[in-house]
Amino acid sequence: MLINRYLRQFAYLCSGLCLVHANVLAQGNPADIEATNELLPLSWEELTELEVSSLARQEQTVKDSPAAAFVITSEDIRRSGATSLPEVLRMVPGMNVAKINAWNWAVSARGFNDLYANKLQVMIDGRSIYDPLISGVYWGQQNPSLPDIERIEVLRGPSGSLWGANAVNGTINIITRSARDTQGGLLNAGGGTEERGFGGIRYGQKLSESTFLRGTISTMVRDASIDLAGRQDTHDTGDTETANFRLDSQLSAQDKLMVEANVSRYRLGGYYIGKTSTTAPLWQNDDFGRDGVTGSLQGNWSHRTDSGHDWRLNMAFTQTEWQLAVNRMSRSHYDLDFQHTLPAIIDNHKLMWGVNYQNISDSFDNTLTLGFEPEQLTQHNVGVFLQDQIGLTDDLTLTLGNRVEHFTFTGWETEPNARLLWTPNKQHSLWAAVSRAVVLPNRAQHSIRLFKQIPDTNRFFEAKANPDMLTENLLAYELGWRWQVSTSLDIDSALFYNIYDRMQGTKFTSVTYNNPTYGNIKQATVANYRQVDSYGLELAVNYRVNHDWRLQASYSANQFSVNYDKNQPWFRDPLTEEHFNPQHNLSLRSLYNLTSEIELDAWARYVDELYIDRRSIPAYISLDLRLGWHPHKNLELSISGQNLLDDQHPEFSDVLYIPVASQIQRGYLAQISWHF
Amino acid sequence: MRLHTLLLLSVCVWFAGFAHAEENSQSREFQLKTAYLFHFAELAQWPTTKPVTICLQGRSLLRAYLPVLEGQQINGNAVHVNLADAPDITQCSILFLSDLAGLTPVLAEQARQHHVLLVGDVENFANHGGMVQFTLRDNRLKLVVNLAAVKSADLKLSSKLLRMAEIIE
Repeated sequence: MLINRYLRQFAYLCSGLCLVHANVLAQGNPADIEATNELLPLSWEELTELEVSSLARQEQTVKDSPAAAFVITSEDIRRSGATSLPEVLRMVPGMNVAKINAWNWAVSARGFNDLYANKLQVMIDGRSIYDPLISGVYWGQQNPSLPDIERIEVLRGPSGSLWGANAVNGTINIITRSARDTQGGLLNAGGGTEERGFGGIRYGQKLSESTFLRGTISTMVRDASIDLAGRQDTHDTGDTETANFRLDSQLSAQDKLMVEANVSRYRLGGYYIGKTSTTAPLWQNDDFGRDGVTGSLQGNWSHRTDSGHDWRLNMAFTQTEWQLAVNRMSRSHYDLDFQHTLPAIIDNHKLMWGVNYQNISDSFDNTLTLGFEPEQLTQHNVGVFLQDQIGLTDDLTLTLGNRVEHFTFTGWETEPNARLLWTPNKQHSLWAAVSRAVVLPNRAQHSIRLFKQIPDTNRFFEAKANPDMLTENLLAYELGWRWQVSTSLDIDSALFYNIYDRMQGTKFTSVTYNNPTYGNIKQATVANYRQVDSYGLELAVNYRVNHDWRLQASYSANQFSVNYDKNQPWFRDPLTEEHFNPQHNLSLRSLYNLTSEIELDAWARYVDELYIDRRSIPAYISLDLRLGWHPHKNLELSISGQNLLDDQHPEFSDVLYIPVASQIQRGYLAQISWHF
Repeated sequence: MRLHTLLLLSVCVWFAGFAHAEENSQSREFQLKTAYLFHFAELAQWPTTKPVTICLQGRSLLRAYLPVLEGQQINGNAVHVNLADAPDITQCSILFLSDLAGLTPVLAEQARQHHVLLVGDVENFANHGGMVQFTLRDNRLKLVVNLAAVKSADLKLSSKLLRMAEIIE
C-alpha cells in the first residue's frame, strides 16, 4: 500500500517535472537559440560540412581557446586554387610565407623566416613532419593530397607545454579527413604553365558498420622557375609521387582507432650546389638535385571510460632516405605519445597530463664538402606535461601548464605557460598569456661540417657545428581579443611581445693559413650569440555579406630589435636579422558564388620589402583569381591564374648553401575533380 | 514523509537531467535542420515570388528553434514562420511534417497545387511522396530529394542543393 502511494507520488512529481522540462524545450533555451542563430550566416558549403555530434571528445573551438588561433577549412583550400600546403598558409595572419623556388619555401610565424626557419612545429594528424636535421620542414618533401585535408589549425605563439620543443613561434596541425567521410571515389587532375601536371585518385570503402578504409595516390610535376636576373632557368623542375592509406574504426562506444600509412617519393631539381675536390678543379658548380623517399606509419587509439576519463595513445614511425651529390641520409624517427584527460574530479579543474618519448636515429655518408659528425647518432628525448584548466568564475578561465623534457643534446628543459581567458559575454572574449618555450639545437647545428668556396672568389671557408650549442629561449607575452560584432562579422586580434635569448649566430672565428691545397681557409662557427626582441600585431576579419559572398582579411605587422655586437665578423645569418621579415603583410580574399553552379574567387596579397644579405627583395602585390564551375552534381571544373600582376617577382632568397633562389612566375592552371 | 518526497524529487530531477543530456546532441541536430530550412528558402524557387513562410505540422523538436528564422532576411525579403498546430497550407511555402501520417494524399495534392515544398525527417518520407527528406548519415545531415514530386509542384531546387543530395526519381 505504502509503496503504491510512493509510486503514485513519484509518477506525479516526475510528470510535473517533465512537463516543466517540455515547456522549457518548446520555448527553446537561450543558449540553444543563440547556437542556432550562429549557424544562419554560414554558407551552404560550410553548413553541410558540419557534424551532428562530435562523438567522443568535446572539442574546444577556436573561440574558446586562449591563444592566437586560425582555422583553414577544406572549403578555404578548395577555393584558394592552391596546389601546395605553404600557399594555403598565406591566408593566416602572422604567418610569413615566401616561395624560394618550385619546391622550397620559407615558412615561419611571427618572423625569423628562412628556408631553415627553426621555430615552427608542423604535424599531420598529430605526427610531426618537421625535420630534426634542420628543425624545419622540407616542404617539397611533404605533398599530401589537398582534397584529403579536412582542416588546418594554426596556432601562433608558443605552445611548448602542449606540443614540446620547437612549438615556439607557432604550431600547425594538418588534420586529414576521416576514412568515414571519404567513401566512394574522387578523381582530381590538373595542369598548367607552372604546375605542369598533378592528379590523384582516392577511393574509400566501408569494411563494416564501424570500420572504414580509404586510399589515395597522387602525383605532381612542376616546371622550373627563373633566376633573380630574370634570364636563366633555375632547373628546379621535379616530381613527387605519394600514396596514403587511412583506416578509421569505432571499435566500441568507448574506443576509436585510426591507422595511417604514407609513402612519398620525390625527385627535386634546383639544388645548385657545388663539390669541393682535393684535385683541380677544387670547386665545381652543378645542380645535382635531391632524390628521396619518406615512409611513415602511425596509429592513434583513444578510449573514453564510463567515468569520463579520456586516454589517447599515439605512435608514429617515419623512415626518411634521401641523397644529394654531396651526402646521403638515412633516418628512423619513432614517436610515442600518451595523453590522459581527467573528468572534473575537483570542482572547476580540468586536468590533463601526458608523456612522450622520441627516438631519432640517423646515419650519413659524409663527403669532403658536406658532413655531419658523428656520421651516426641516436637521440632519445623524453617529456612529461601537465595542464590544469581552472574555471575561476563563470566567465574567467585560467590555464596553467608545464612541460619538462630531457634531450640528448641539451639535457633538461622546461616550458611553462599561464593563460587567462575572460569571456564577459557572447560578443567579446579577451585573453592574455605568458609562456616560455625553447628551440632545441638541431642535428645540423650540432654536427655540420661544410667546406666550400666563397662565392665569386677562389678562397674557401669551413663552417663548423658546435656540439655545445644550447637551446634558444623565448619568453613571450601575448594579448588577444575576439569580437563577434554580429552573426556575420567577426574580428580577431592579437598582440605579442617576444624576448629571445641565446639565439644562434654564425661568425668567422679564425683563419687556417697556408693549407697546401686551398690556401688560407676561413673558419666559421655557430653559437648562441644574440638577443632579439620582437613585437607585433595580427588581425583577422571575417565578413559574410550573404550566403553567397564571404570576405576575409588578415593583416600583420612585425618589428624587431636585435642586440649583438655589430663589429664582429658575422657570417650572413638570417635567423636573427630584422631585415629578413616584411614589416607588413596583408591578405584579402573574396569567395563569391555567381550562381549556384559558378564560383568566382579572388585573393590579393601585399608583402612589404625585405632584405637578404643587404639585397632588397621589393615589396609586391600579387593577385590570384579562380573561376569554378559545377556542370554536374559530381563534377567540378576550375581555372585559376596565380601571381597575375607581374610576369615574375622574387619572394625570398637563400643564404646558406643549397637551393637556388628563383623568381615566382605568373601561372595559369586548370583543374577537374570528379566524385564517383 | 517529507524526506521521502524530497528523495523522490531528487531522483526525478536526476532523471530529467539525464533526459536533458540525451537531448543535447539531438538539439544540435535540430539546430542544423533549422539552418538547412533557412537555406531552402533561398535554394528553392517558387513559380511566383512572395515572402517565404515556413510551416510546421506535428510534434517535432524543431518547434523550439524555428522561431529563430522569423524575420530573417533572404535577398531583402523577410522569412516568416507559422507554428499553428494545423497550418493553412495555402499560406505555406515550406511545410515541415514531423511524421508520415501527416503526409496524406490530400495534403500532397494541396502541396502540388499551392507549390509547397514538403520537408520531413522520417524514414521513407521522400519515397512516400515527400519532396526533401533529412537523413542522418555518418554523423552528418544528408538530404534525399524526390525530384518528381518537386517538379510536379512547379518548384525548382538549386543545383547547389542537389549536388549534395541523394536523388530518387
